Amino acid sequence: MKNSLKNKLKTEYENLSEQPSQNVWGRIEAELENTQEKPEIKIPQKFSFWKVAAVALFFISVGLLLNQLMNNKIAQNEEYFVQKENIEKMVPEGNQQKSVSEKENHFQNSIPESTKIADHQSVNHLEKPIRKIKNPESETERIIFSEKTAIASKEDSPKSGKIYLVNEEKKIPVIKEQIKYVTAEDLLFEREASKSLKEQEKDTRKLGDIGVNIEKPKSVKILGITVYSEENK
Amino acid sequence: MQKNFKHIFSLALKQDRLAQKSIYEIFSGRMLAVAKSYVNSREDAEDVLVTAFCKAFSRIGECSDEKSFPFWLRKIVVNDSITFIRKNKNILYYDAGNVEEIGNEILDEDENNFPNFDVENVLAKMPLGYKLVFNLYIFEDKKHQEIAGILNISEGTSKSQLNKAKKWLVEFFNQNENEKFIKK
Repeated sequence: MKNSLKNKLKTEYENLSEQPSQNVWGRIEAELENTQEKPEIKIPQKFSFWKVAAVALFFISVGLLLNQLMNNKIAQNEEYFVQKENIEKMVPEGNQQKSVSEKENHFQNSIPESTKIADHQSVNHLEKPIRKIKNPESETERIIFSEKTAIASKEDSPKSGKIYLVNEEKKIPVIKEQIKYVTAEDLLFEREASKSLKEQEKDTRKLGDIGVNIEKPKSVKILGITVYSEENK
Repeated sequence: MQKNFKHIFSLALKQDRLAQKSIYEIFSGRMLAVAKSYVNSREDAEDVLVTAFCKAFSRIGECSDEKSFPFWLRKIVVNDSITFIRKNKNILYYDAGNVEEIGNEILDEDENNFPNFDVENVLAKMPLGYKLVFNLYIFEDKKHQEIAGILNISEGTSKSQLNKAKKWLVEFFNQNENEKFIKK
């Protein structure tokens, strides 16, 4: 290290020191106290509560919306409800077995291949019936299962004479085309339409007829000259 | 001494007021001189000292260890001094473009050629515009690129300011010699 001016400048600069005024530490202390007090200001609890409530409300609303959408989808695509009472009314006792097997066939055809396997597996789950009911009229044994997706298997039902019925209260969603029922409004509309048709048939009015009856004059005179008179005819 | 400072530093990390005062007493003299070398007046230097120490104590956790604390504190003092000058004194640098740095003849000269040399006097008389670049280059060992970044000027401007400072130093020493000669 040579004794250059630069080095001399540096060493002298590094040795520089000056005692500050008495009040400087007091100012630093006051400033520090002020800065330490500031971070203690906390956000009011109400604010955070509202934040949490808003987030919860958002999630609930999103959940409800999704649930509604899912329900609508199921109702559109997978609506097939089998009820005990409907079967008893619609199917005669003698044809009960046949009708059930027909329904099965229809059901099997209506569902896609991919879902068939799953349904067949669900049939295998039907091992433990909850209770058995004997119908004295049809002499067929009804076994009620608790499974939601219970479906009678093709092989078992005709041979054993047992009809596997679905849970009395619960409905089974099955893929099927939506049934359209005639509503009261349709009937009323049809009635009104037929009425108007009948009225049209009865109406004998012609085009351009305004429906005002003007009496035919016996004679027409223009400037004293008889232009038309019934007597001349 | 080092062990003692380590203990003081660890207490200051916990915002212990006595430890902070001890640190202030150790470094305030040196830091005041550093601040004064930039802002010139003692009052302004004390203002810088207050803000710099407050910043250092409140952010002491950012300092890695007690060994690097003096350098870290000095960096804060220098930065705060420059901020103070920017706020309170109008310095306009004009962009000098690409300027080549002149040789360090004056700085490389033998120190014995400058007897009775007083650095405090030199810094007090040096114009503020040159002094910022000169201090950063000579005492803080900053490169022109770094100085340009700190002062928000171009690298060429930094070089031209240093050239001017060197020329000013030559003139300053010549003037001193002349004065001595006249006195003799």
